[in-house]
Amino acid sequence: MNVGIAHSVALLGLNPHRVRIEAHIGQGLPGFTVLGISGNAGIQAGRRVSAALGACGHRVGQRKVLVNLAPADVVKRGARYDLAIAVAVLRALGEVPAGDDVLLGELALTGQIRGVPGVLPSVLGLDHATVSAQDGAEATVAGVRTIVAVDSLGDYIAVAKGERRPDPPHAVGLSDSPRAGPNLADVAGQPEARRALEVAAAGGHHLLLLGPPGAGKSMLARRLPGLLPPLDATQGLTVASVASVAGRLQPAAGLPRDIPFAAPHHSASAAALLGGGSGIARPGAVSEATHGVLFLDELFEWSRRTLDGLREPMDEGVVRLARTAGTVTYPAEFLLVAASNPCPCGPARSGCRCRFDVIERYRARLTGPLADRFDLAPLIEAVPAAALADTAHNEATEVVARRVARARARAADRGPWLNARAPLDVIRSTADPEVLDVLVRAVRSGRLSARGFDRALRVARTCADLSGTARIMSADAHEAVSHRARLDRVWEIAA
Amino acid sequence: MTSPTPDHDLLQAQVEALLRHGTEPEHLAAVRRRLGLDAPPTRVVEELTRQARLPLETQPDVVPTGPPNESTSVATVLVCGRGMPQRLADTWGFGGPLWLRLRGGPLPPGPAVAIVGTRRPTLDGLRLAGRIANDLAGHGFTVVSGMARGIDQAAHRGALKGRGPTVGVLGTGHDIDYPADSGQLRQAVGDSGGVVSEYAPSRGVRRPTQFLHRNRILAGLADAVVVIEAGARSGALSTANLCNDIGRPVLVVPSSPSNTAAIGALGLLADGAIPVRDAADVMGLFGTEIQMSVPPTSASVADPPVDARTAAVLSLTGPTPASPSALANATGLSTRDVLVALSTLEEAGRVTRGSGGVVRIR
Repeated sequence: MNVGIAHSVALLGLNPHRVRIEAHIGQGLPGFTVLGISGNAGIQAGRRVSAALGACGHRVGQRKVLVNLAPADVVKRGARYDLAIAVAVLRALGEVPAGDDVLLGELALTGQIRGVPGVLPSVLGLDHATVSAQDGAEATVAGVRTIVAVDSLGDYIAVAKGERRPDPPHAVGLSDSPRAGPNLADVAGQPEARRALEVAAAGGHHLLLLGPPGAGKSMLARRLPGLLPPLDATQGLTVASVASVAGRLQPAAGLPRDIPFAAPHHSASAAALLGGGSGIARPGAVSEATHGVLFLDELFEWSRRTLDGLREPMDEGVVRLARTAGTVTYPAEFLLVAASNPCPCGPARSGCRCRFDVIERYRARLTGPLADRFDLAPLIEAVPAAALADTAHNEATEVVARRVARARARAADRGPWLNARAPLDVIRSTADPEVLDVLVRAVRSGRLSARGFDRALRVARTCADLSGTARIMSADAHEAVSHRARLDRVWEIAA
Repeated sequence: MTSPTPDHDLLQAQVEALLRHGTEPEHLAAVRRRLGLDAPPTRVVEELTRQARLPLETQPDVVPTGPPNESTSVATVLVCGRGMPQRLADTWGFGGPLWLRLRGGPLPPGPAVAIVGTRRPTLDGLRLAGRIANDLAGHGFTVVSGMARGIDQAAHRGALKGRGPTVGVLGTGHDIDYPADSGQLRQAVGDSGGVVSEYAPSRGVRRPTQFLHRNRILAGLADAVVVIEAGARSGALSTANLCNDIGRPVLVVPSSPSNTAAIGALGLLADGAIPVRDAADVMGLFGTEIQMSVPPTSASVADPPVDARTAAVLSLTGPTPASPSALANATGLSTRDVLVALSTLEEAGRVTRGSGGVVRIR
């Protein structure tokens, strides 16, 4: 029986699923039928593969070809199985020897092999993979031992028959050093915001920057990635995998070490922010920002429904997207930095002229569950022009980043968590009763919300890490309460 | 303020007929512009009645038929020279009102002080307004204000807390909840000293000038006006100017020149308004010598000592909001130290945080 077997990989989220492709060449009416692939993608794949095979001199137009992709209940979409289908047919024809390599690539009608998105997570941990020449570097990043990167189906046949050796793709590892981002030394003044950035970076606390337009909120937010330690290999792999699925990976640079920074615009849809699209959902900005910073400017201009979608990723570090074709999970472990004007007009130079109910409605978007997820809310003030030129005393990113690294190292002694996500009893065990008393008194006097209590304790732990003490001090608790001051109280003075 | 029984008074009956007919303050203003401000109320009413094509000789005994009319069922109508307080009736020649719809009341006799100011006050302004109103009310003064958000409402609340009479003057009709959610306060003020409006009960905010016209009633109902924080274009300034025009003293609680919420009030001072520090200063003007029980300037002795850094931060706070960043820059302390100090001070009740920054309480 003329059955050829080849292997490929289907991708659900970042999870690879091995797909076995069987090609059968039999008697009957000529045709090329592909089973087990969703929609009319099967018909299209059959036509492409048939043409590509013809271009390499292996016409199957007059044969009855039946191809099956198994298992049937794994959702398979797109053109990534073209190469594997063609190879299965060639093996059924006896043109190339059997093998257990994983094949990924889209075929052109001329027999050229094109790159496909998501190669990196698909081949992660495999021994032997065949990909298009342009995906070769990406496969190296994934650590595949034997990589065959070929330009066309003809080349593959030649390699498989042992007629020529494949060009080894040049190996790339972790990129040398992160690029230098914008420096904190460029920011004039803003001591409160600087401290808040430092605490946020050290403990992974979400941050809300409040201030009038032009005061430098975005400028500060863009300097936060520089304070975070560069990505390690595992984090780099995750970041690269998300980029690969989104089709944005530049493998030539090797595994990324730069902290990702995603800044979607407030007109973006929920799908753009959280991930989505038809069929298998694609990663959104929250996943792009994983292990990095997600910056939402004009927070109150976002629709409430979109913002509510942030709750799951903020709590669990993953985003789950259910679509008809299946539910996928993408990583979404980001540090959220949001920025907002204090009112819809953004206090103009003459002062705010908004009506009270307008302001209330504007700010109502923050209240409730989302407000509870922020830990720090510094006020960004417009800096007088004279002070702008004076950047001599401003600490540079490197200086602050060193302190952040030291604080993170201290937190790491307690366990592999950032303070914002560590189990509460771990944090609590380092707090003396006096510290808890400070927070209890703050709750009693209405300076801290009941839900803000635990979060304030976490921030206090980070402040203690920054000052290098093993126990949380009362001063740390006081600082934490101050950092939350604008979150837990009504902003406008009740008349 | 003795007045004939309304039932037997022709002018009262005529005005009530006009109000039932739907005559509005704008009609009154137009007629007074034409006749001149010297024309007496009777002449103005005659003209209005003619315009409204109502019979001149309204029979006071005839109870109007039909459904209970809105203008008398929900409020007492006070007419100039009849039920209206004398000091308001005295402003007739300056364009004072012909009628007032009073809900609650009766309007308290005795000295009255208007407390007015910005709708966007600082915490300090709110506290001052509340305290001065409280002390004035406690000593039998009526606190008159305009029910607006900010200083006005703080003054009403302060007076209510002082268990003294307070009178609200509306710029809309009685049935309109304006400013939004002021219903409870309006009820309390009505029970205390009364709420008055020149407008029909259902009159909403049709034109912004109706609040400026309201201010002439506010000025007329008070023997003096106290301005606490008025912005550069605040309506409180118009009240103060109207008060000055009718020859009643304008008092201003001084504030820092950097307090933008009080720019207009400081302008009044520069123009010769009388500065006042507290209710005692206000009452001194009326010849009432009062020793304030707690002089607001002296610090409370019970405050526990604070460490040097906290003291440095405390010394820089004041009635004008200061941000943590500004305090850090001014003290040279680290942001952490400033934040810790602020929370400590707040816990001790020495400072409080508003939208603009930290304000000192003690």
